[in-house]
Amino acid sequence: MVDHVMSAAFAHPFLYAEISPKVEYSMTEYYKTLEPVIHALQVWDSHQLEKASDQA
Amino acid sequence: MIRNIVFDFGGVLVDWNPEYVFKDVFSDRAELDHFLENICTPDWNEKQDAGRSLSEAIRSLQERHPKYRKEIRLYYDEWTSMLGGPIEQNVALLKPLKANYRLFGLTNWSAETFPIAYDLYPLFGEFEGIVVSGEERLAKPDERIYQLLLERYGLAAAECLFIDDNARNTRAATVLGFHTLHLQSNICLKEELAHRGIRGL
Repeated sequence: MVDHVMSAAFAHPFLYAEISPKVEYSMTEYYKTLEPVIHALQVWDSHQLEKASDQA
Repeated sequence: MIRNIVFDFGGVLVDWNPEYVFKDVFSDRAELDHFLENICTPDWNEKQDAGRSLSEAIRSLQERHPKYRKEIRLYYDEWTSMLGGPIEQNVALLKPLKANYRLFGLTNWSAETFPIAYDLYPLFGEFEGIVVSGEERLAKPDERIYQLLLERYGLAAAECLFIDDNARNTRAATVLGFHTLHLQSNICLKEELAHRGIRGL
């Protein structure tokens, strides 16, 4: 999944000509469409943690 | 099972706001907003968090906006006045949490200004390790800085709860398998941690 996020499908790389070259990434439109999915995953995870703590 | 709690600092444990400096510089609210939205922007500040030197940041911005030469210089000359101090209700949780969890910091912060804050606030001494973006020349939400934290301290993402006030940063952490808590202004951190089964509060 990490590689996917780093891939061109998710982010546009910009290479800066500096002494220590660095690459910055901006979110692609494609990645932005995933935001509600990731948010749903966060809500699901917090509920799972809550349920687990109730059962402990 | 959560074994580690990873904190963002700005907006979570430390109050930081450029307005604290510039509200006294600009008498007009619209001009203040214009300056912070179009001149000394969050994007410009983030470049310093990612490792650009303060002197280079000021010099290049002054060249682009000579009208604001003096105000741009103030951004770092008066930087400590942007610190509003520790967010006490959240800082008070650190010692109890430390009894049951390993605590880490993962912060987007300039390598040149973080040592100043570190010396000002004893709260930073509660952490087993702190990864500072400016020192690593990587900033959230770049996943490489999250991976760096995991590798440096031998952590598993699935055993970490990452707390940040920026949704962009918690989303990146979620993708990497962290448990996350997006600390919005209307949320009580202590209650949210308790809901997630965090012990000792």
